[in-house]
Formats: sequence, structure tokens, C-alpha cells
Amino acid sequence: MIDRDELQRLAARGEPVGADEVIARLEARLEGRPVVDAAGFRTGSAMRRTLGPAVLAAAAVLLLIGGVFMLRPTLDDSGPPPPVTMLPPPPEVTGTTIDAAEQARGAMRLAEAYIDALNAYDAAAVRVLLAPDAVVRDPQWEGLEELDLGVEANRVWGLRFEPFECRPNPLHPEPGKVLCTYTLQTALHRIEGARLLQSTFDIHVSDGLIVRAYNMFYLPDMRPAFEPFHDWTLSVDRRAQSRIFYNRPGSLYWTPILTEEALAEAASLLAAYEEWLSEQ
Amino acid sequence: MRPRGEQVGVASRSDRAFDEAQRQLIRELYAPLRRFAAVVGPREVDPDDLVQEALYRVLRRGSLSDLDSPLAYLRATILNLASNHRRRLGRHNRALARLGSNGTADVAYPSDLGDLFALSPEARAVLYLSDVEGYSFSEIGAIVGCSATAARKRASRARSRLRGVLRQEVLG
Repeated sequence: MIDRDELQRLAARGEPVGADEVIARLEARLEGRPVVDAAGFRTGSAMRRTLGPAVLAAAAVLLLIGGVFMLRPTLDDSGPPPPVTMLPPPPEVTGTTIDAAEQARGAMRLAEAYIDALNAYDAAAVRVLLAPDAVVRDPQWEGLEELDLGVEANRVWGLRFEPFECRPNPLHPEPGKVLCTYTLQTALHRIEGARLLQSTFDIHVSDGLIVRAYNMFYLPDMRPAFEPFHDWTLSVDRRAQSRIFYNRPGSLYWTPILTEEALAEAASLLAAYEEWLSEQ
Repeated sequence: MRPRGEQVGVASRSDRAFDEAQRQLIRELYAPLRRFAAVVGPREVDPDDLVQEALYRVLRRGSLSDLDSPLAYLRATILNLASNHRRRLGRHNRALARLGSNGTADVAYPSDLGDLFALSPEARAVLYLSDVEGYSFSEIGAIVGCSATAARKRASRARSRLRGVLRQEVLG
């Protein structure tokens, strides 16, 4: 029976990334965008809205007059040489500034090494970058005890996070917090030539090691590449999916079963799917 | 529901910057928005993506505090996004059918919730807002974009449809 409980279960599906992660992603997307007109949308104070166009018009007139004035000596070659542009003095650099900048660069290098190691499917290299009590959250695998098989699952599914770019987390300006934006590549995208997606890693570094690494994506995030594979596996072996995936409680999403047998079967299914697709 | 005022404004960087008040507002809105997105969004789409996209569309134009009712406005935006996704996925599935796939996606999700996905995003929104969140039909109509009477009818039709789906399942 579909009742309130079912609707509440539906509302609780998936694992929320949390408000802070959403804010971080929004910051990343909004950063550096040009100023836009917002049709039908009122922003700022009434005074600024009223004065804004007037200030812009005044600035344009001043620029025009300034431009004519600057061009005059060039045109008649008789005036004094143009004034030398004066740069403001550089800000004072303190020891603290250098420390923070160096710390931020170190954190970014570590984050980049972490993603490089994941891309190389090198579990040992991933492990040495993580603190012993690091909190690793990835829909496919969680915690250091799942690290080896989790990295193997990445290899089987052809997960590669590239190109990627790491920078200080715009939401958390502390030097140890890094946000890496990547393009997700998977075996299914490669096989089908499907459109690639972008997502982010949220990485925190402390004392030269990664203490938190959050990556948020599920196999269905391989969309639109996942659905054709899903339908194909149903057509060849209806029970295959239950041998390679499981549903986490309360979630509609699948995650790979992290056993060697399940991963081997997934690899063999992917190979058969690629062969079938090449014959179509 | 609608942004306050009708004048066209220019959003400056400082308007769009995340001050603490704005972050706090997003933190407060996140949980109800995420639940709503999970209800109305297609199962192939992560609810967090819908929430993020809706917030992005508002924030790139201005501040959340410019909205009379940010929660209702964002819910309406999420619903529109979910409907767009559903249309795109429909085209995708029809293309798959032409490729010879049997298209039995529902079977692979071992959950009763699959029945709810048989409804349109609007119908799920109406049922959720009325049965779980206790909204009045006039409030629901404002979010879904119809009158209170139409919202009541949509809820009634959605329940009938669910009853039909469940009866068919029972009869095998």
C-alpha cells in the first residue's frame, strides 16, 4: 500500500551530500561568472537601483572625456609625454601570510597526488596519503578497510577523474581545505561514447595527510551511459545485477558488491557488453 | 513565490557573494528542499543535483533574501527541473526501445517506491505536499502552478492511478 510512510521513504532516498557541500559546489559554480542582468528580479537597495544607471552613465561620459584627453597628444604630437601609470605598492608580506600560502599549496599538491593515485588505481599510493583515522566517503566504498577493493572497483568500472583541477575551497578558506573539480570518465562512457559529467572532491588536509576525502557519485551517475548497460544486463541475465550490485538500506541507488568474485563478474559483463555493442 | 518587485536589477558580485546569512538560509532550506527533490525527481537524477541546480538558477540572478518565499519558489523551480529531466529521459528511453531494449527498468529496483515513480513529478509533488507536509491545496497550487481545485483533482487522480497500479500488481 502506498501511504504517508512510502512517501516519506521516497523523500529520504539517496544519501544527502549535506548543505555545506551544496554551498561549496554553488560557490565553485558562481565564482568568476560575469555579472548578469536578472529579468524580473530585483536585487540590492532601492537607492542603488535608482542611482545605478545614473552612475553608469556618468562613468561612461567620464571615460569618453578621459579617452579624448589621452588621445590628444598622440594626435597632434605637440603635447607633453603621457603620464606614467603608478602601481599601488605591493601588500606587506608577513611570516603568517607565507606560512598560510605554503600550507595551501601543500594541501593542493597532496589532493592532486591523491587523485593521481586513484587514476592510477594504486591503492598503496592512495593509502600513504591518508591519515590512519581519515574519513573517506565514496558511494562505492567507505573507510580504509574497503580501500583495496574500492580501488579495484574503480579499475573495473574504468573510473578516472580527469581532467581535474584543485584549488582552495571557496567556502572554507582555511589553507588545508581543497576542492577538486573533475570530469568523470568511466568504462561505460568510453564504450558508448556518452556525454561526460563533472563533479567534485572535497578534501581536507592536516599535518601533511588527508583527513577527509569526500567524493559523491553513484553508478547511476554514469548517466546517460548507465541505463543502456542496465537494460542489456537484464536482457542477457536477469539475475546478474543482483550478483554485482546491492542497494544500501533506504537508498534506491546501487553500489558495487566489493568481493573479488563480484568485481570479476562485473568486468566480464562489461567486456561482453562492449563486444555486443560493437556488433550492433 | 515570485521574486519581490518587478524592476530589472543588476546583480553585483557583492550581491551574489555568500554572506553568512545566505549560507544559513541555504542550510535551513536544504533538508526540506532535498526531501522534495527526492520525491519529484526521476530516480536517475540525484536529488542533490536538483537542489543545487535550483539554488544556482536563483543565486546567479540575485539573493535568496530577495524572494518573498524562498522555499516555495525553490520548490517550484525543482519541480520544473524534474519535469524537464523526465521529458529528456522519456526521449532517451524511447530511443532505447528503438534499439531493441526491453526497457524493463522498474524491475531492477526492488522497491515498492517504484510504483510512485509511475506518477508524474507534479502528481508526486501534490501527494507529498498534502499527505506528508500537510499543505493546503491553495498553497500546493501555488507551487505546482495551478488552482486549488486543480491541485485537489490531481491528488485524487494520483491516488486513483496508484490504486490501479497496485490492483494490477495484486492480480498479477
